[in-house]
Amino acid sequence: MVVRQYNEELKYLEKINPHCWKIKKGFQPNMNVEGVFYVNSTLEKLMLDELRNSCRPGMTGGFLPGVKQIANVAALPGIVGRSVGLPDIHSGYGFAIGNMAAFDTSNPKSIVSPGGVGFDINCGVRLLRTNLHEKDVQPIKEQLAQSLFDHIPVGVGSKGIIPMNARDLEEALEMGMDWSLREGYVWAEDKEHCEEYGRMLNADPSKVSLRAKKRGLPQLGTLGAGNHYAEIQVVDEIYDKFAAGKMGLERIGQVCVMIHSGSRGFGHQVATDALVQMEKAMKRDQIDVNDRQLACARINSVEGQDYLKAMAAASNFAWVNRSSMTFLTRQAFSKQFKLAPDDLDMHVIYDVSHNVAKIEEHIVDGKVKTLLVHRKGSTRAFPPHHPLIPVDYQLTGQPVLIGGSMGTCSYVLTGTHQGMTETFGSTCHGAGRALSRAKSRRNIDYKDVLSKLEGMGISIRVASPKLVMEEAPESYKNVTDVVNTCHAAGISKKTVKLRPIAVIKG
Amino acid sequence: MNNIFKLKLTALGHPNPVGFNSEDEKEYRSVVLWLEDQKIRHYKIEEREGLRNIESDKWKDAYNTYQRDLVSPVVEGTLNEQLNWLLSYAVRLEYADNVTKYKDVKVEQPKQSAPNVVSSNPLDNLDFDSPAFKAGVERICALTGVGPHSDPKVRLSAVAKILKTAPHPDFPKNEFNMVQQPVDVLKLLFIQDLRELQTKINEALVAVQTVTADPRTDTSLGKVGR
Amino acid sequence: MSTIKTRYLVIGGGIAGVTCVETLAILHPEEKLVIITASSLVKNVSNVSFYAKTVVKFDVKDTEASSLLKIHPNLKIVYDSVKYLDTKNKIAVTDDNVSIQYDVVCICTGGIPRLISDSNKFNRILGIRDTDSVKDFQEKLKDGRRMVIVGNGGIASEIVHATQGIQKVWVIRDDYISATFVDPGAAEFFQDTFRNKSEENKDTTILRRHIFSEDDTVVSINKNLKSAALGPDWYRKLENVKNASGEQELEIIYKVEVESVEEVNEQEFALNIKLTNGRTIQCDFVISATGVEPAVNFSCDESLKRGFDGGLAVDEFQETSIKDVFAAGDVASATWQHAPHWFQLRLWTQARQMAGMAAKAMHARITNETVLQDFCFELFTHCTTLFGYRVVLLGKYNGQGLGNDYEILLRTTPRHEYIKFVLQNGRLQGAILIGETDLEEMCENLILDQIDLTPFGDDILNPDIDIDDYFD
Repeated sequence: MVVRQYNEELKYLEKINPHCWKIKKGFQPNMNVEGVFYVNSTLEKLMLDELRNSCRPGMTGGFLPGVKQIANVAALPGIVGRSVGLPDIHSGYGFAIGNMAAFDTSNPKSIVSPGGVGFDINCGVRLLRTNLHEKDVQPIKEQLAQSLFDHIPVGVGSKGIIPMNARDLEEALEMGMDWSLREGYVWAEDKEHCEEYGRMLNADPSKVSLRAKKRGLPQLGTLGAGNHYAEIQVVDEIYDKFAAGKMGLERIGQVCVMIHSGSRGFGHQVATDALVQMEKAMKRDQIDVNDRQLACARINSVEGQDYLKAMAAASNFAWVNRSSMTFLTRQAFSKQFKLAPDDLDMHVIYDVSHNVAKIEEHIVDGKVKTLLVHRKGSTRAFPPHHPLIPVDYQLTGQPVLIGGSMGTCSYVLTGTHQGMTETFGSTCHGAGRALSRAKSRRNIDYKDVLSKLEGMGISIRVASPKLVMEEAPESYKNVTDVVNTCHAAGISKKTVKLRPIAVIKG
Repeated sequence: MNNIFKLKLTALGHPNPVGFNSEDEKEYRSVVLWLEDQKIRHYKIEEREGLRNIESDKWKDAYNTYQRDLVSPVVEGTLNEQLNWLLSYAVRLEYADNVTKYKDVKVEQPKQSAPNVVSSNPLDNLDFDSPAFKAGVERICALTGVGPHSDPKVRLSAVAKILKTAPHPDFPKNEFNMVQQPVDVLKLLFIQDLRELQTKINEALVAVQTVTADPRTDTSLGKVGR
Repeated sequence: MSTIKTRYLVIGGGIAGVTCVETLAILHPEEKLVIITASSLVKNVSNVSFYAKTVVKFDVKDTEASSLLKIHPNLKIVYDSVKYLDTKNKIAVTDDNVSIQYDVVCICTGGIPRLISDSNKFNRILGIRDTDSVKDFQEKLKDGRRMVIVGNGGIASEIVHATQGIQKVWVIRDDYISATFVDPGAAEFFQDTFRNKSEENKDTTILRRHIFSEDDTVVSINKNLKSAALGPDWYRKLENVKNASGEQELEIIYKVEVESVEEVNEQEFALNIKLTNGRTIQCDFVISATGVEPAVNFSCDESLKRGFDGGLAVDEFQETSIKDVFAAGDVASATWQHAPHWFQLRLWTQARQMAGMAAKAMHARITNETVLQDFCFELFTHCTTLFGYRVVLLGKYNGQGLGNDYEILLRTTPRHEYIKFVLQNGRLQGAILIGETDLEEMCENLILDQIDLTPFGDDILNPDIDIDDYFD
């Protein structure tokens, strides 16, 4: 990392409009393209504060600020357009979370990087609508949440609520949502309203390690810890009546269910296995990167292809998982209201992925190019009339589902033509989290504890008190700020705001 | 094929359209002769001798000559194709002879068994013959360089082909709306087709599901979690 | 002599036996299953919480064995003990001469407390591991004034924590407490807690449920230590036991073992305990809580292969050296090639995991399917409550097997949290998480993934960073 004074660093940044900053070449070494990030005034301050903090003396190593990570990605071989930081960006492994980068597949040096996808492969959000009103649900929301909750599988020995053995898993990895469809867990219309139709065709389960399969096996139909959740929500505000209508969201107070989950430990294992392989490939092909965490391989190398196939399998896993939860949700509602799920109009509005890499066609410098688009903590947001979005949304643009951090508001946006040209059809994914969610200040006193441990003859490091900074930056990124920025910048359009009334945590 | 023959023979007032079997050589030859005698009347009566000898080995030669004389485009085709053309030709002649009689005939639409969907889509009710439509097509054809054709719909599909290929031709700014509107129309038509296709796909999937689906859950396993 | 025929046979009503029954009820409810339990009470798992994929916390309580009938429609319960196992003809014979013919069997006979050497000579030395001995212990505690506690495991720790109104001398072989569960640093963290305990709210630990009742008496009938082991909450019963005159006092003597025990009449206390450092302590009784040994309390036609600790050697599918004979829980000795971050410790967590695995493998044997070893054997985890704190142990949390070739990264806030990472070559090998840290899944992933954490330096435990989001 280049170490400069904060004022020096600022010279590489240029505000090109009220919602967009440019990161010029030279900010980090070997940048092939420029970087860009989207902010409003609040987010701008957080972004720059983060950079300023990293410039303070003694702050070497550790976590790179988002701007630096965007610039390091801009230095990867084969990148085209710009390395894009979305408003909810925060530090992540290699790539920041909220970073989009596209690589030209016709350039033999172009790379694929697991860090650009993330560990929770195909983490995403699915939204189901109902024809219920808040007043129908409010009195029984506890029972409803509980009956959703009841379906979360328990126990090491148990097969999970949706029984799945090793052979089922193989099939699910290959077929994605088609597996759920075949087995009858979802409706045909669900597939229609899912990114990639819920199945990555290049998935190859044989490229997935046995350990990954074992790690994934008992997890299907489970929500997962961390920021994963299912929420019962109601429509709080409608910004675009036409688009909302196309999604079947007609009125304030209408009840929806949002499911936010991913591939869990399975994706973790796929990503880690690939990172190990890619370190070897980098040595062999002499790929130089600015940050070791940006381990990558050429798209056309064996390692690159193996990763893409395994990643596709993990994506399929995540879709089966969200489909399983869709099934359980419908059952729970059906049981509670004594009506069939289709009488409750429980259709999938859409299902988005925000940790994935996909081959897409885009126009670069006036020419159609086939690109490998990495979206990490970034949602695809294709404009109206794009061939890859469902027919029902051809006029509105692709629905983009933005989950707030648990318990806050969520949003539905739509893709725009401007986003297609500026960000390769990408927008934000949710609230930005990494740094300091107002952790209570720790009173750290190690003396006694250390004296006991020292007898063991082991080197001991301590999460140093100096790190508990006096003015620890409050850098939590509010979902409303994030969404408003995307809307104002024109890279997606606000459609509906949703408010949670019950949360089911994994 | 027999069905078409039946229809056309009925229209021409053949005495036995239902019983006609084109595979029977004798019946085939008789119908050809009947057509010439009653409807086409291309030859003078005495010139029809070759066709009249239905039993003769030379009938085939006479038939070929007859077709050439009529300038049939399917002389080299199968017997059925040949007859079909002959029937159509006869129908055309019949119509030409009685234009005034047939002009005002309204064809009664057969009732569809499917529910009649009243489309709210204005595109379904487009009048392709209206002068406005023709004029609009004329304008975008001029812009896109599509040549003239008597049917404006054919020109429109040519325009669609051009617009589908990237990059689109550049239009002068003041003409933009003129192009954009029909483009939008085409897009909407496309979406409608796509919706129908998607619905058929979904129906097919549901049909398959009735065979394969066996969702198994064991809710007794569901226990209260955290 | 009656004969019963069954597909599945489970021997033992402890946590392993019951888990085995429960799992088979899910996998193969239509097949006949027999459980042999010496006690009419069996262990029942409830309140299962997943803190991470492999980190599971659960409560254990006693229930009537008959309640198992509700889970499994084809279950038969035999209240008896096995005395002889004929593995050739697949017949188990009980004390009451009932013969049970099986296709596959799982031995879940548990473990017995390891006692200090002189224990069999005196009834004032109590091995705490078993429900019998707890009842005994409670009686003693009522009129005792001073006790010596030997051992450094979780149970010893809990006794010290939970008993009041009696003087306690805790004799520990190591130079820190709770060797089994925690490290010296964590011990210091806990000591700090109970040093401050008296000043703070006295009723910090809330008794969530009553654990022992009149049922305890029923259990105590079962001799020969065949009844099941204690749960993590057993000591709570002791919290209500008071000694009217005695004041509470705790003394811990480190790096010492008991050399001999002598019973004396003409003095205030009944026992003289001589320690290896030469000191003699007088007391009413001794609590010996020094771990368990596998309990193979029946004979067998063919000798089952043993592990180095005397347990029945099992492979990764919990099968013993004899085909169709499986074993799980404390009685089993894990002799397969362990995953790098797993090792055996005779805990309820593992009893449950092993029994689940055994059930799956037994079912696979009957149905001719193949199974994979469950993923929980990839990573050692244990989740318990000590001194009122949630304690999560992951991987090589005490640097097990790493020699001195590792680093410790620490974060602690007195009376709030204690977090220790064990790192080798910059990679996380194990962790101890005490308190509400919310780091369970992140640590699990970091250990399993073996990601190089060197670039993050000490920041990995920076309280201002939500590290789990970083690895999203």
